[in-house]
Amino acid sequence: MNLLQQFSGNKKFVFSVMVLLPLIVIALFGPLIIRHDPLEMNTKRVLEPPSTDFLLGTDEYGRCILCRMIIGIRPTLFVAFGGAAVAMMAGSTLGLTAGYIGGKLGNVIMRAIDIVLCFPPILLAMLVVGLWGTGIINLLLVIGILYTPHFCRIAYSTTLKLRKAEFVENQRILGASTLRIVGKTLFPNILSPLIIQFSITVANGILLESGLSFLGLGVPPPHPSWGQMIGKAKNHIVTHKHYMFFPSLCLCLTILATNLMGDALRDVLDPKLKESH
Amino acid sequence: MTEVLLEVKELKKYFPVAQGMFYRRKGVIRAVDGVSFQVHRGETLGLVGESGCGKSTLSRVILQLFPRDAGEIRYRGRDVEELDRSQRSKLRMVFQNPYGSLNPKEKVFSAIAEPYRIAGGYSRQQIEEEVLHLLGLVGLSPAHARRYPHELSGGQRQRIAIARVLALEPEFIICDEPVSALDVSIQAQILNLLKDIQEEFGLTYLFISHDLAVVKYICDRIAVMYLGKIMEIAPARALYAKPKHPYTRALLSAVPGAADQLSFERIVLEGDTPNAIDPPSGCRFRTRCPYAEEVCAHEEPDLTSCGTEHFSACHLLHKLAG
Repeated sequence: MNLLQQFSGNKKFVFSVMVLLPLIVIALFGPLIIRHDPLEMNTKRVLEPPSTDFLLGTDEYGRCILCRMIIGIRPTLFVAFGGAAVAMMAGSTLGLTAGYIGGKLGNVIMRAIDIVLCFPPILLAMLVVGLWGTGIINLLLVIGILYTPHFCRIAYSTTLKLRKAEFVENQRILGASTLRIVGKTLFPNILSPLIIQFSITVANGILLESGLSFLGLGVPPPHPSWGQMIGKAKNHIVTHKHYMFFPSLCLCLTILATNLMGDALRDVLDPKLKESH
Repeated sequence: MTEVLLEVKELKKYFPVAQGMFYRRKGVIRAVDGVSFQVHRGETLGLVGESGCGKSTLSRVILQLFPRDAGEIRYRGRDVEELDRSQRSKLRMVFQNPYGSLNPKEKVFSAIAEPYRIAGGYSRQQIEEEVLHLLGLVGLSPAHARRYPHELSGGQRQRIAIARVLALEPEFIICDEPVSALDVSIQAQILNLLKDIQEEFGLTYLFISHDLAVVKYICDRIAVMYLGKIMEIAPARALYAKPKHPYTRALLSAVPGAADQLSFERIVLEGDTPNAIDPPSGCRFRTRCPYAEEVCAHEEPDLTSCGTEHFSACHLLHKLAG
């Protein structure tokens, strides 16, 4: 059975694609479809319930919640995917180096990684944002640094298993350079678990970005993001439930879909892992 | 005698053993402990021994996958460490496990093309011609080039490993138990293939195995290894007809169905191989040797001549003659 059939037969995969694909399309074309300016205040129409004019109602400054949610997808996804990509590149490079070259260098890398892992993610993120200030690029780097250890450990352990494999020994007999062995021989063999980790990291990245924005350390206002909207909405939770309900629902669905994507990838790319659960 | 292609002198490889907290150094495993032999151009030297006796370590030290601790390895009179890349590519290896020796993410074509790509200086077309030529040599069709290793049987994979080893015109090939992972019905095919290409390209083999029947079939001379040392080395025929060393006799006694045809008293080994961290004093085989005497515990026997090109490391050769 080929990969495409395996994916299309996987319910988790189909569900997550049905959620994530529209989300990405909306993120890309959002500015073209919104009816109201997401940043302009309208003090005459604050905290309105859903109506035909404002489909999901308005916030405390009279801005359209739906429009702000649509515009808010882009920074969230950008930060989460970008951060996961940074983490994957840095983590797999470090892990491959530590695993294949090993020795003192490997020890230094892995202990440094252990230290990063010691911090609770949100605390470390707050520390970094506190030091460097808020902003989208900073958020992206924070997520990149925070999740580098996970990729690094996966790359390290799989590389350790493979470094003594006979096909690697054969490359060394032929006089292949270390770069060639690591990049061309080892990397394709450790890619599957890294891809799985990537989608899990995207889910965690969305969550972390929302968490930081909720605390006011994420996307700087007046630009919206889901976490920031939820943070603002908590002040009105008793009187205007719709304000908090829709961003929260979308956030939950997105994170669920990304996590299920990770599960589906694991089912298909790494069937052995599934059996052990 | 023809030219000596590879010469190994007093080669030693020890692995440090570290245990417990903070990896305290506890001792060393003497995987290869003073091994000397020569391989002549065009011959097949068999290397036989139980698992763990240092056969594979020896082969990997020769190919510089592990640094050696002492001794000399000379290829055509030059130390292997001084060889440049093109000379080094004359020394190659066929691995035991055809499932592990091919990169699972790489198609057959890439696997065979890899030596040319690493060496450099070949055009895409040249590489393609060479790969198809080599596939034909080992009895596979060009269609196999587009497959992944997991789509092929063990025998086919070993053929691919052999095609790969033939790239760049090697001279000396170490065959590390090349058929022990295969079905018996496939073993003969692969052995014959190895013999054919040896004849065609004038290759020299160091053939590692624990299967005495296989070794008898393919080897010109045989070296018997025990706990990191060579116990006996002799032409294949002489070794099977008149083994001198008690350990060789024990190995031959263990061949199923051979008990009635032995020219010597049958030896049944008991117990396990002693620990290579702390090998027995004197002769390493004495703890399991039925003939062991006082002298065996004190003095380590050297390989001594006991026939044409026949050497055996035993104190009691004169007593055991027959």
